[in-house]
Amino acid sequence: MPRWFRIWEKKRGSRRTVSRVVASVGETFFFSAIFFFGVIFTAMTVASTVLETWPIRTMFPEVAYVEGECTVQEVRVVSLGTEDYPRYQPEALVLLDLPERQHHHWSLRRSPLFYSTQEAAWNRLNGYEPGWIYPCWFDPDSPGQSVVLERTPAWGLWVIFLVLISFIVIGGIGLIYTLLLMGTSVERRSAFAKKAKTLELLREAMPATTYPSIPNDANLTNSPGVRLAFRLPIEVSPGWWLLATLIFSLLWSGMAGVFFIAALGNHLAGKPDWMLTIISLPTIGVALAAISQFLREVTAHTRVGPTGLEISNHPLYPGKEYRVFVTQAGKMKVRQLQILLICEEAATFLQGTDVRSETKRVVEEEVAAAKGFEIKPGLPFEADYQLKVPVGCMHSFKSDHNAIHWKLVVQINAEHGAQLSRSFPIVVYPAELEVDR
Amino acid sequence: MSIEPKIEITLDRPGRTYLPDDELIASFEIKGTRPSDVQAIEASVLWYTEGTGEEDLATHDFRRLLPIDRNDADLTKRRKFQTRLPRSPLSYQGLIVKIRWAIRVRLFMQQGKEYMEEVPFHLGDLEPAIPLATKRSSRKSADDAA
Repeated sequence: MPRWFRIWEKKRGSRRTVSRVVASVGETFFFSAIFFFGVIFTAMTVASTVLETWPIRTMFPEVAYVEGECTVQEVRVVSLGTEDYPRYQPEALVLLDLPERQHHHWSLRRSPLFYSTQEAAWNRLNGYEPGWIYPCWFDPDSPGQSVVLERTPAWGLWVIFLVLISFIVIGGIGLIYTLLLMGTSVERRSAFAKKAKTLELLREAMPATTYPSIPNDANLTNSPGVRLAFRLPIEVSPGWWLLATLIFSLLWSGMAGVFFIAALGNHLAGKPDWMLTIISLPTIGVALAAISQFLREVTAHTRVGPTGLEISNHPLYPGKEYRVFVTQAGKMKVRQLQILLICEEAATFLQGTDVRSETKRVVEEEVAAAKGFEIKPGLPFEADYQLKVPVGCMHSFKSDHNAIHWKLVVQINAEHGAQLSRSFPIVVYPAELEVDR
Repeated sequence: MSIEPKIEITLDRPGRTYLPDDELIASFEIKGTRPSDVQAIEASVLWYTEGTGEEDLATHDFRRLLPIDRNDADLTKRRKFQTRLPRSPLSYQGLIVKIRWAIRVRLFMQQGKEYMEEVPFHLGDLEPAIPLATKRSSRKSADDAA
């Protein structure tokens, strides 16, 4: 069958047509540019700050100010702005007495302060008494124009330093990483990673595994069962699904409500907006379906109680037989309760910038099925079944982007229409070598 | 015109099937190049995934050989190495996840060129995965026949 020609298609993950050499050179160039930009501009900023030259002197003139003593001669509040928008600026007339000449200047700080009331402006001048001597700062090149009684902190200068240093750090780390990986084979990188895992500190934290790439089952065997050895944990709590249904139905209903009110308002006003009405109808339909689904979920969860699954051994081995014990609480008439043994392949991949995942079921075996019984409050359904892992099946597996999951799934089909599926992860080991645990 | 070097890898079992914890003995030889042209050789026993997901790779055994490591500085001569294979992951031919084991030898030349040769082998003897629909239909026909 001929394939459709696609004009534009996202490349999948590492399956790209670009050259690795060009990519490495590009990365090196990019990180070098960031690193050298950071180094050059940090050096320039430091030099400019220390030597008190352009551009720091232009951007932050107070960096170059020297401290002196000034006599406050007078204080005042200047009215600015308009009648509708009055502004009041507090000022002090200072006398700077230098050996070469005296300077008089109305000042307080370099960036003028404005207040909306006269009272607030006068309050700002509290503490400045005419005739008293206060410390002041000024630019030695133009003391008369620059003298201030209060020096503002140069926070902006520190922000500039922080940004420039972050350029050095990001560029430097990126450059070292790129150079380390350049010309290194994937096997060598993998060997580096493996060697890092065997470092003493890490080895103490993570004991060596006898079965590499098989997920640890510690979390599955830490809860003893009542009848059998282990009580299996449930994969996803049904409460989360219920919460997700609630949030979706609330959000969608809110949106549908807004559409509905707007459309109805137009109709009542005699100016019907038919486009809005047409859009509102399916939106309201989805909202009603979401609410109905939420109510069904609530009904199902209140009638169907917790499901418990215990197993005689763990981990499991292909070809071996085990016992499973299921308990189901609640208040309902059950059409069918089924326990399935499932093995799924899972793969994650990048499609363009999106991370996608795909699963494929490769084993689906019915472990047990019970039909036509009633569960009463305080009297849960309990049953013991035999489970056999099929011979020749793949063991559990987990790597960065690929996995093979095994699980036991309890499916309940109740008479009032509630259908629930509860999943219990398990770990299957390779059959060839069974170790005593 | 220069002749490309050839990497020859040999496994001790012609069937190339091993069981977990088995000893694997492999040897490799570089042909068609002068020893002085070889900068380094990397020999790895590794597994990698294939299929829908991104490729994952892990080395079980990795050796990097440099001319300075050997007295005669000749890396092109046949070299033998052995390793005890791990218990997992087993070779697997799944529907969207496949796990392949291989011996890979990578040759780095002085001029910066790189050559790679890989010989696959099986760890374990798992059957390939069959789609559930196919499994069900074959089970149904077996039941009908019975």
